[in-house]
Amino acid sequence: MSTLVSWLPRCPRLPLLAAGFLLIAVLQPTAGAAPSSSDLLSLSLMPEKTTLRWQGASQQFSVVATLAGGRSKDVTAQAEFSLADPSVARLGSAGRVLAAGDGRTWLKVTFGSLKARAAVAVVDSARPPPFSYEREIGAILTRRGCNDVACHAGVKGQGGFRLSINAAHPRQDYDWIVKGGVYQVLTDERGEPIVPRVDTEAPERSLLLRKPSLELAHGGGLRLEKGTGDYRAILDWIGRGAPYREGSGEALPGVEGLEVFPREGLLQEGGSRQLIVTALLSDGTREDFTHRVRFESRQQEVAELDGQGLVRALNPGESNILVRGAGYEVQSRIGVVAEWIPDYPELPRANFIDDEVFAKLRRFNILPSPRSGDAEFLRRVCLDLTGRIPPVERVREFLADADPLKREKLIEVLLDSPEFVDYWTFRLADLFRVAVFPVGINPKWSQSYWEWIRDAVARNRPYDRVAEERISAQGYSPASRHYLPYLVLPPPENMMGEEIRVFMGRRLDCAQCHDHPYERWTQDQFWGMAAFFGSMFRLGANPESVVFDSPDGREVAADVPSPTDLRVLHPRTGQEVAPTLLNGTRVSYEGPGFPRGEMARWITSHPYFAEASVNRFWSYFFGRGIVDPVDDFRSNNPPTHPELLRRLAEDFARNGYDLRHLFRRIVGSRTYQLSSAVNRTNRADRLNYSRALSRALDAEILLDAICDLTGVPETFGNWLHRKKGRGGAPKGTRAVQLKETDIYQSTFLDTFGRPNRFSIPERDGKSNLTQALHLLVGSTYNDKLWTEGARVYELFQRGASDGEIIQDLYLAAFARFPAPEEVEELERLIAGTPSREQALRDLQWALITSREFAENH
Amino acid sequence: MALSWKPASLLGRGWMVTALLVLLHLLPCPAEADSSAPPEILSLFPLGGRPGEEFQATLRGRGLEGARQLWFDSGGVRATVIGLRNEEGPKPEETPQSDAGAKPVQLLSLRFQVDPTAQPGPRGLRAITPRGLSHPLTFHVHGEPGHLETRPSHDLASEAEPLPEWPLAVHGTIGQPAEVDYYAFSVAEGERLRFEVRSLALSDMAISLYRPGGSWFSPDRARRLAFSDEPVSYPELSTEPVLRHRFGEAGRYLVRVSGFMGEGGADHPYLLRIIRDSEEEQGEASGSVSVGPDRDLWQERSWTRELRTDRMEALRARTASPPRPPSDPEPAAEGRAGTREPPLPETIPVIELDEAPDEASKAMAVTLPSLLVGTIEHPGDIDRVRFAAKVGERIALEIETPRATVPVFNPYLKMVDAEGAEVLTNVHSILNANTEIEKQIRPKVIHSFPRAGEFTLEIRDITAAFGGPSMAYRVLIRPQVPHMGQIHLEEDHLNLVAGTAAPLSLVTDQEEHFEGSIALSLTGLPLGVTAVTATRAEPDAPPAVNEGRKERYVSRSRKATLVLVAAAGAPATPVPVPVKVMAQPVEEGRMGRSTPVKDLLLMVVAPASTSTQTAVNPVEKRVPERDNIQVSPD
Repeated sequence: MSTLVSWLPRCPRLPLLAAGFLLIAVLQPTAGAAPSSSDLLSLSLMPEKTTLRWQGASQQFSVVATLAGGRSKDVTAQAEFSLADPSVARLGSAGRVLAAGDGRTWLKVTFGSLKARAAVAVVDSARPPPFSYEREIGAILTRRGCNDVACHAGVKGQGGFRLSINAAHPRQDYDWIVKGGVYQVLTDERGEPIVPRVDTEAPERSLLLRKPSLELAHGGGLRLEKGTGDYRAILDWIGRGAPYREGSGEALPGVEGLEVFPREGLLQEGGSRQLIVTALLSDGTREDFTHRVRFESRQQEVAELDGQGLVRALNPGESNILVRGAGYEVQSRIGVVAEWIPDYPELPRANFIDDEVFAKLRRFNILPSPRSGDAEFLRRVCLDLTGRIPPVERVREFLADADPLKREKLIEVLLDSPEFVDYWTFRLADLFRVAVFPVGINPKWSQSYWEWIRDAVARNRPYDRVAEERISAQGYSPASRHYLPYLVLPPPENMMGEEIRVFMGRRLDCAQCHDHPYERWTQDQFWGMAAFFGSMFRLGANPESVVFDSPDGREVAADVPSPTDLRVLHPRTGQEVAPTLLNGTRVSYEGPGFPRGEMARWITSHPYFAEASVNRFWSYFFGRGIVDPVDDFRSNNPPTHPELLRRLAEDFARNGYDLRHLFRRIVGSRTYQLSSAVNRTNRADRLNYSRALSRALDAEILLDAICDLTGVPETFGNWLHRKKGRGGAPKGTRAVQLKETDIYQSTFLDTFGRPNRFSIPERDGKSNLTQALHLLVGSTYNDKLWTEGARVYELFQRGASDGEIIQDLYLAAFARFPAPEEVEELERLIAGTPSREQALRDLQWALITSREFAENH
Repeated sequence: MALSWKPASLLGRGWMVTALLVLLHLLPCPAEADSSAPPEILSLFPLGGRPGEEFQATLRGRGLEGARQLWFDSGGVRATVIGLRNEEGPKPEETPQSDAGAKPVQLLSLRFQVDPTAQPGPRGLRAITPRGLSHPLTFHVHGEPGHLETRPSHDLASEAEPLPEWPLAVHGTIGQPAEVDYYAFSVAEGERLRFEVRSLALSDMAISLYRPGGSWFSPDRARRLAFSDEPVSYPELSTEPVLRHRFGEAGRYLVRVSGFMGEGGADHPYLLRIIRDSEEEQGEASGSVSVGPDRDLWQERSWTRELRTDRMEALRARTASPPRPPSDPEPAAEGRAGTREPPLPETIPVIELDEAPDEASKAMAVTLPSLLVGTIEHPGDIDRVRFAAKVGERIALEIETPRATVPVFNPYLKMVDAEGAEVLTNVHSILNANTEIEKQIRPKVIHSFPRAGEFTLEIRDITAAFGGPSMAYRVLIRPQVPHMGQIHLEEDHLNLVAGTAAPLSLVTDQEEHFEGSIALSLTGLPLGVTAVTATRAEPDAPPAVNEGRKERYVSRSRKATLVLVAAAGAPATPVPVPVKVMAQPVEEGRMGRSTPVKDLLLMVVAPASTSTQTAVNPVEKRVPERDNIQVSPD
């Protein structure tokens, strides 16, 4: 215990809210071993009350015991259940209660010495529920995975048979089954053969049964064993004539959403937890859907499910459990820990980021690493704010400085530095794709576009204004140039897709050809947004091209029979689509503005914009977004810290979308300043920011760091028009200062992952064989080591000792002093090498090829 | 022939290689192949001087043997040739545009004298040799004291070359690719300075302004305050950067001159002017630099031509119709569509639109002709006027952008009828060979009304995203005047070898249904030179595309060729002779006024065998001093 908390500095205890206590109680890890009765503190039964309607209705219950120290354990399987009135309900297996007769009763549960109870009401127990396709057949298809996106709910379905994901559109699915037909792209018409997949005359001959039971070949394998309840239910339904609805005329309430309990839970390795899924019905009632949905663990090495909602903890880590059914999808986040921390310490916090991150760490029973040392912090914050490793003299100063506020002061210095402007111009130039070819094949344009970005960073222009200016860019303005890659305007849907991805973090592209398979985005929404870009036109030819939106939305001077139609047509209906925001608001061409400008204002004032922006910038500091990938927000890719994301976005918007403010918040947090050293509770954690994760330096940053360490700058040549001759970047230009990527040749940068910016860059930081070869024989790693002006060469010439050179190199490379044993070992190695020069070269090479140098940690 | 292979290295390569080399040696050296080629001048350093100054300069070029004189297109500057030498050593990296067959680069040493009364501004400068006249370079007379770059290398902020007090004209060279030049200067608090760079055709310079002082990372790091590269790259517009800055704090600052893409070499000299911002009126005009007689005199379809209230008279002067006093009610000639033309006012009334209401229903009524003057004051601003037109009435709309112009300000004119239907715009659509719609905004458009009615003319920026004082326009709406349009002649000078002939290709524009002829003539031809008309073979036209309603936006044009013939015995002209190209409209037997088109500089040179062949030694050869020639245009 003492070792766990000894590193924590003193700090006032933060008050805990009562709700926090409750949440912590729910989230305490469910122990794998049976608790002793002396450990038991309380017992909870969920849900606390339920109403069972219709014949055969049931409810799954979950029993959780709270143990000493705040731990909890799911004891559903071990608890004893009883009903006060067996004529009202009866017990099923493992906490399931079934309707027996109308009335009210108590479900009682006993575990050890503890008891709990829940109210159970039963109505209409003698009446079978009215039949509906979506409740019965749709649920079976969902549970069996038939309408998964990998099967028949894929874009084109499978084998011509197409279903909606999770039975989101049951009426369409029903028609595909009972009417037949083959899916065709970009049309609502069904292709041949139009043969029903059910045979009401001979139900057992129905394709809907023969394929999934493998009576006929089925690419999806065995999905529906003969004789199971689901098989019989479908067989019976077909035998009744395969109706869509059936019954007394009373319509069943529709499903308007799903809830899963618990939404977040913690298990100890080997433990288990019963999930309960409840449907929210259109008449305001709730119904147990635990056995009508499909469960899926996103990290199956962490947790697995049995199909009935029972989660089993396998290894430490965290997994999202996806619950799909009735056209909806919800998640439960399950953490698995190896051991229980009995006295979780209070953690010092710097701002709300720490409140949110540490609250989750506490819930997930993970101890964060200690605060980073000064050297670790210095190197990290310099790289993250300016893309540079700190110079030796500054390292010495910082490490020697006793000022308790030196970190805060350093952050301000870096935020105000010209190097900050260089680095964040580079970052945004990457995101905004500044390169000659994607910006009109005209260096004049790409450079003015780059200058526009640089000016925005230098002046700290609000990010929403920058985004609005880029999205609505017109005329000959620098930002408008990005709409002219290769000198032509791309199709409206491409332009829209990129702006939404960059500024709202969403990928609508799937909805281009069909309603989005995972999301609620429809094809109509996609084309409604694309229509904002539909009236764009290019005036003139290179080099004077001007981008404009045709006034009135109609083509200017349509004197020529035009193959170019400014109208955006819906690909399936062929109807003209009016510019329509994602929320359904149509924007007209009336008035002084223009629709694309309206759309830009809507995007930048939408909550999606702030959350997508902070998420993207967060990823630059932590190596991953709170939603990751950063431009793939969707319901089945939820944020790891939703409340943190919300608060960051709110703070960003409230402070005028000020990037420096956002960065100050991030690097000032305790979370950011944690050490990268692991402890035994956070070894497996890569999602919760319990420690700093090492990140490979991007190609440009790495090259600049090598130049800084060796003291030998890089030179960058470029190609120019033949008439103008050869050009190049000025002496001393750093890789992050290059305006375009595609005209400055660099084998090193290309090898280490510099993107060409022809599409939105995605850097994965993964190493490859070419890089390894470059380490061995590449000029960057070898030619800079021993030349006039090089760091070690000059030290050597001045007669510096081995120890002095080692110390200088360590400070330059790692921003830390070498440990005494490192000095001793290196001095011994140098002394043992016949050529001192060769030994010093090798030492430098070893340092710049080390992970400690090539990563930010 | 820069063959540096050693014979020993060839022995093992076989006889074929050896034979090939022998053959190569036997071929004439490209540099010696054409000894009659006219001179080519590449660059000049320094690029100018101050009135009253006398200084030496070097002109880089080829084919300068025998060069003894310089020609200036306006007065105030004299240059004397001191000597000529070959540039030492090949420097292909400095002249990458030259190919292997180019003649060696020569350096012509000159002594310049700028008259104390010379007006600041650019001058066109050409070299005269026995083989003719070169194309021009620009020499700048500047009002500020000059400063020659002294440091061979000042690429870094820490190496900035200190400058004496401004105002100043700094003469430097971006001598190598990727080179930049830093200069240091001091200012007082609140000072406003203007920085301009002038350079030659190969260069595209940029200016940056820095505050030194170092950063946490580097004591040598300077903080950039401002940058200018003139990102616009458009015909008629200057790409020379101008940077204006107000210095909030007194102290030492840096200015950096660099090639836009890091280009550099011996032919990248520049002139950096640092002046107080309010001193601009006294200095050289900013914007595009027009040198000598390159620019055609009459501008018909230019965004920046001046539309004046006497435009109707100017147009009439380009017809063969007799001059007609505006007060004379007599002509009232039949219009082409059978309507009577009303008498035209002596001067066109100017209608100010800035104060006019924006509402379409309150559009100001105007009569033709009118000169509409206004500004697109804010994004989305639309100015409107309305006017009545008769059936068959023909109008022309001319647009001038006196401040910001295309592509920064793109005036979009739309004429709608009483029902709001579009009748006319100044956007010309064509279907290009790639079956893409291509749209061009035009500074002039003509129209004939198929029906009478009231029409509204809307004037706006095509983007609806910009507005402000710089977006000023002048729109002339007037009756059509069929007239001789612009006459295009590409050549600005001609070197004619005695006993040979050379064609001059002219394109004549016929504006607004001008159906007459255009007579072309040359005056001032030197002795022994005559001009005759000729036909010429034209290549087949490219595949037809849909050119839209081209007749509205583009004048009809015809091509003509004049052949200048120098008799075998025509005496060589020691200096260029200004020949005037004249044009004269001819309609229905009437000759219009003869109008100058362009001044052509003509030199008659002796054939190669008789022209002076001057061997140039690597060591500078001094030649007898001889003054330059100054010819002032009319």
